[in-house]
Amino acid sequence: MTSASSRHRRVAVVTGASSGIGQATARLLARRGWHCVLIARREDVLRRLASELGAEVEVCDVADRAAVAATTASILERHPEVDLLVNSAGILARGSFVDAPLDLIEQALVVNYLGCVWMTRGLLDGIRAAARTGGRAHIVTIASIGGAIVFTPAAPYSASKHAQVAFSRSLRASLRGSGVEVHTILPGFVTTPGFPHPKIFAGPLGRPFVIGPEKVAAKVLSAVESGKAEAIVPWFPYGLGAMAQAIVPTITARVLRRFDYPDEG
Amino acid sequence: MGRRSLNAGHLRYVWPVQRVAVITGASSGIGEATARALADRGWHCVLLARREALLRRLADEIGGEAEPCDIGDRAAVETTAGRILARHPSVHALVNNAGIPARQSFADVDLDLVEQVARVNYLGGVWLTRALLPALQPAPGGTRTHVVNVASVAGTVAFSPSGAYTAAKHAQLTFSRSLQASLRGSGIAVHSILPGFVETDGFPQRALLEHRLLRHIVVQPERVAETIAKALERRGREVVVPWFPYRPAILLSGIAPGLVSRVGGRAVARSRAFQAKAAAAPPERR
Repeated sequence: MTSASSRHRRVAVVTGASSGIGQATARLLARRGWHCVLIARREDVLRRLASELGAEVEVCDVADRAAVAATTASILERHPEVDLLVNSAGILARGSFVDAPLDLIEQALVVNYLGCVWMTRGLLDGIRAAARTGGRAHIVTIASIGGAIVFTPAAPYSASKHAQVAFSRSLRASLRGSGVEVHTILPGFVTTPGFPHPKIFAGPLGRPFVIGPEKVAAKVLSAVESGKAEAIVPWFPYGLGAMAQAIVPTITARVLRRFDYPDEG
Repeated sequence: MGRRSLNAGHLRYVWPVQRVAVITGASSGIGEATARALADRGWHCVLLARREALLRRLADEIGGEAEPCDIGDRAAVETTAGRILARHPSVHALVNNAGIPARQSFADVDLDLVEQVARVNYLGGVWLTRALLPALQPAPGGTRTHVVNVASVAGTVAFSPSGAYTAAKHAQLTFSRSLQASLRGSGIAVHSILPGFVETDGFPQRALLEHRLLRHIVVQPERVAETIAKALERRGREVVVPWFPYRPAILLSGIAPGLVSRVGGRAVARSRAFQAKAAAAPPERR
C-alpha cells in the first residue's frame, strides 16, 4: 500500500466539477500538483476537462444514493487514501416556501445536503486512511452564504444550504482529533453557469459583491493549507449578514425577502 | 362553544365559532402538552401523530379529533390534510411540532435515519403547511391565523452529537423564518419556537438531568406549550425557550459558530457518555 510520503501526488475528489466553482477548484488543484478525480453528471464536459488536467472521471449524480455508493467504492478501490474531498455539487432552487414546487424543495435538499452527506460518508474511510499516514486530510464543503442567512427569493435552496452548513460544522466537531479537518466555505454571489445573480448586483454599486469562481477556489486551497474552519467569500458584506441573522433573524429575513431574482441568467 | 372554554380561566374573548388548531406530533411531549394547553383555552384541536391509540385517548380527553398520520410520508400528509379540509374549511392555527431524534454524529449515523429525520423534521412541516395554507387564509376582516413551527436551538447552533437532527432543524428553521418573511402582511402569522433541551418521551434527557449543572438547562414540555399558546395571541415572532442560556449561545454563535458548537457538543456528549457508563455499572458502584 502506498503511504503519503511514497505517493507522488496527493489525491483530491471534486464533485460538481464540470463547471463553476467545482471546475475552478479542480483546475487550481491540478496546477498545484494534486491528482484530481472529477465527479459530475455531464460526461462529455467532464472528459474534456479531465484530459486537459490529466485527471480521472467519475460520472455520477450525487442525488442518487446508490450511484454515490458505487462511485465512492470504485474510487476507494483505485485510491485507498483520499487526501481531500471538495463537495461542490449543488443546484439552485428559486421561489418562496409559498410558491416553490414541492418536488423542487425536495430535490434541493437531496442534491445540496444529502448528496454531500452520502459522498462524504462513502469516502470517509479513505479520508481517514490518508489522515493516518499523512497526518492530515481534508473535507471541504462548498456551502453558501445562503446557508447562514435566510434568503427567501431562493428559499428551498437556502434551507438546504442551512442543513449542509450544519452538517459541515458538526462533522468538523465530530472528527476533531482524528486528523481529518472539515472546512466550510460560504461564498456570496458567484458568477457561474448554474447560478445567475440578482439584478441589483448588475449595477456599478453591486459589482464588487459578485466574484468569480476562481476566488472561491483560491479560498478552498488556502483553507486546506491554513486549517481554517470557516470562510465567507467575500467577507464583506456577507459576513455582516450572517451576524445580523444571529442577532435579529426576523428583520434579516424580511429585508432580504425583496431581492429581485431574474428568471433567466 | 366548546365545553371546556366556559370554565377556562385563560379565555379573554368569546369566539363566535370555536377556533381550530391542527397539531402534529400530538401523541406525546411538546405536542401533547400544546394540545392540552390549547384545549384549556377553548381551541378545538385536530391531533396528528403515528400512534393511533395514544392519539385517540388524548382526543377523547380534550374533545378533539385524531388523525393518525406519518408526517414523513408526503402522500399520507396530503391525504390527511384533504380529510381535515373537508371537515374544517377554516383552520386558525397549525402547530408543526412532529420531530424525531438522531443522537449520533455524522461520522457514524445510519444513512437511512439521516433521510428519515430530514423528512419528518423538515419536509413534513413544509408539506402540511402547503396543504393547509388555503384554509389558513383569514376571512376578510377576520382575525389573524397562525403557523407555529417548533424548531430547536439546534436549528441555529450546530449540535454535533445529534448531527442529522441539527441539520434537519437548520432546514426547518430556515423554512419557518423564510415563510414568516413571505407571509408578512397576509394575516397569517408565522412563529418560530426554539426550545432548548426538553424532557419528553421522544427526547429523554436523563443524562442531562443527572448532571449537577446541566440539569438546569432542561425544561418540561408544558413550559414550551405555554410559549406556543401565548404566541397564538401575538404577531409572528421567534422565541427561544428557555431564554437562558440558549439565547446568549445563539448570539455568540453569530461570531464564533465553531466554538459554540464545539463547547456545547462536548459538554453534552460527555454527560451522555458518563450517564451511559453509570447506567452500565453495577448498582453498588453508583
